[in-house]
Amino acid sequence: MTRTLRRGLLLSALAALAALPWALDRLVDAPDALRLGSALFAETIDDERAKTRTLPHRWRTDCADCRTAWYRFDVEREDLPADSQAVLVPSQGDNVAVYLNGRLIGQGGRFADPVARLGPRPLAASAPAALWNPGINRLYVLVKAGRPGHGFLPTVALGPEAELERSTRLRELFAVALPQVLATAAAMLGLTMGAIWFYRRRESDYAILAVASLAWATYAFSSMLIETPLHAVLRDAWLAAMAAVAAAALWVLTARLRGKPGRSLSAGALAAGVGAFAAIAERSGAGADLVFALALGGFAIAGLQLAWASRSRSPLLVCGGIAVAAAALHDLPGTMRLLAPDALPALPLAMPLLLGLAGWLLLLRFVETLNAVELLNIDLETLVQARTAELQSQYERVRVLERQQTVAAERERLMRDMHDGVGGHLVSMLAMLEAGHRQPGELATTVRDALDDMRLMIDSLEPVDDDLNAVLGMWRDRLASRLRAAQVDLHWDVELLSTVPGLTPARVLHVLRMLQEAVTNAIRHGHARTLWIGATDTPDGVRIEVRDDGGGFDPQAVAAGRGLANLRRRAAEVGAVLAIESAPSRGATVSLLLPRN
Amino acid sequence: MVTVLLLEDDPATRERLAGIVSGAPGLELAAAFGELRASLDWLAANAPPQVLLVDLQLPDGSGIELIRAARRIAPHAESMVISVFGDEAHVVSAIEAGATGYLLKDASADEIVTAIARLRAGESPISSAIARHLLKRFRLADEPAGAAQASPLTPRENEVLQLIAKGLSYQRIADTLGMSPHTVTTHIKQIYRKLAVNSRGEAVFEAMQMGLLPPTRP
Repeated sequence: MTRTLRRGLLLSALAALAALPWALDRLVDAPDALRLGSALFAETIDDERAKTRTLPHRWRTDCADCRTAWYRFDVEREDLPADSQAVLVPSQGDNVAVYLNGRLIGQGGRFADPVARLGPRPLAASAPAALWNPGINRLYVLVKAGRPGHGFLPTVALGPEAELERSTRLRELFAVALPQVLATAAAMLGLTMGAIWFYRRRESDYAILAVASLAWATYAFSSMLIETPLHAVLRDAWLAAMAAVAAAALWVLTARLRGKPGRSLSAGALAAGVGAFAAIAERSGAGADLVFALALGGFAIAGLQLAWASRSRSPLLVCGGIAVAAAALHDLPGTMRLLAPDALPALPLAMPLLLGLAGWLLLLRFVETLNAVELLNIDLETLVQARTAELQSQYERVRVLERQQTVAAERERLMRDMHDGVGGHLVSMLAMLEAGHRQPGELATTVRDALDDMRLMIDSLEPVDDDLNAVLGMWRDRLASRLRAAQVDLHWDVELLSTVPGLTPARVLHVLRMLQEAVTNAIRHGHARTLWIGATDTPDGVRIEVRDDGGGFDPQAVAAGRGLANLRRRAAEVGAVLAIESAPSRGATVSLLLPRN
Repeated sequence: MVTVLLLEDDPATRERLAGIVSGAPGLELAAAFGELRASLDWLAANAPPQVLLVDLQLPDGSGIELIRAARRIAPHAESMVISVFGDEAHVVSAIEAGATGYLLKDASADEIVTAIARLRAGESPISSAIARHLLKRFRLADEPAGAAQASPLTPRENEVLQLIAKGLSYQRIADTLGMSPHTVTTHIKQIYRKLAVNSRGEAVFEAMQMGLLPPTRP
């Protein structure tokens, strides 16, 4: 489809839509042949001063202060009608009664104040064949107005009941049933939009649509009430005010669509406020009429603006705007009492349509926002995943570097430890062999020392979780067979110790070597027969003690010895306090205080 | 006579151990090998020995295979790992294969003979390192995501095992738990008994399934 063609189609559809209210009027009108063109109009029945008036007729200057008036139709019949006849009054304004030949044949509602108000409801009065006379028949229509001078009579139709039924039914459908359904729908829409706005306060579009819908629904329902305790003027004012609020809300909504919300919001609110106030404050009812007319004008202009503003965005809204504008223009003359009210009120049909369309579009926008958010979330997730992966790889790099560093440090430490232990033993073994040592026992001792040291190194690599008890337990198992071989008694008195934070393999090895050194010294140099090994918790830390009953020594004298120097060096490295107590032939006690930091 | 099969690839160590076994009263060296293949062949062709002394690292494989084969053929044979350091990793993997103890390669002749005799008598002093390892296994077994079986030990036995892992003497354990040293020994025997149930033959497999490690008899 070309663009021009599409535009042409749209334009013709709009034209059709704009003409629809008038087309609807034609549709529901009674057949022309049955319409009664004129009547004798008078304030009282059979008034001599009755004047001929064409229908439809408004009282206005003809009867400015009346609240009741009579219309007389002289219907001439040559013979009795074959079928049952009916009189159709298309709309009643306030209240109507129909008499034929002195018999009441139809009535809208209550005639005493407050007068029933039947509005656009049709009145179809059945006129049975039996009521008719040959010759002149007198048909009266009594009209009662709520406000003086506000009576009117639309074009009355008279004919066979069957021929008028279609018009009656269509009027009931378009003037009563459909507006009721649509008003209910508008109320529901208003409540829904209000609920959405309640949870999304920042999006005032929903609030405005809610106000428009609810104000309109209130107007529509109020106008449908037949009997109210309200005075007619007050009731008109109320209706006008509601219509004004709905029009103002529509105005504001339109302005938002046009992108000029600020000014129009205040203007719309001001107009509605002033209009409602004027309508209610003014007592004669003219104010209400004026406000209502202005509201209709507002609907018309807002509808046109809405159509124009959404021309490139939403053909649906264009249709809705045009429909409302056309309906408002169509209804305006009737409301302003300029012309006769044969017309069917079109706004109650068009306005809910527009409200529904606006609600639909807001809902679409809401869904689109949700979809967009969803897409955004997916994007965000992808982004987060990418970032996570990046972080992970960075972390991996750091970890590899750290591991390399740890491995290097550990390797260096192991080298140093081997140099201190096994390396030294191997070197001295080599020296012994090269010097032609002939004592295998001494060589074996060095080899055992080397093996013992290797085992300490291996034990020190066990994960001990800062548990010094575990370290000492392992050492005890290592020590037992050596002491058995040397025939030395061991008294083991280690109590349960609290953990020592930072018990790394390096520290464990230092501690184990110091203890091993103390034991070796006791056996080799002190020739001890009994060893007491104990460990206790003290406030300062864990105290480990190795005591023997050997020959002892003078700590001052042997201070320079290699073994003691080694002990001191290691104690300093692990931050332990070393104490050696001994005297010749009094045994020796080596105690080590491992601070808990 | 207790027959002993020896598998050790270092000729000097093999000779030394073979000499110790041959020279001990009550022990008889059935055969000594330096390669896994030859020992497996021998095991398949001859009456199974009562005790196996097995080195783990061999030129043509792992001694664990011999331990497995022996357990299959002769569930009552006892396997001991010969290890330089008796470090946990080595011993534990051998225990998982069915070994029931370990020997240090530099142990004296007396120690070796005594260890074999004790092993035959079903006696098993428990080292603190092995106790620690057992506790670790039990802890894993106690975790809901771990094995379905809980620790077979009573809370009291568990406490005793914990204190052994901490290297405390029996006297100290008795003081700590408020019991007599004799009761401690009873508990330890009970632990042995429970662990021993799981240390023989196919039961080892079940023990592994439930995260329980068989005991060692060093």
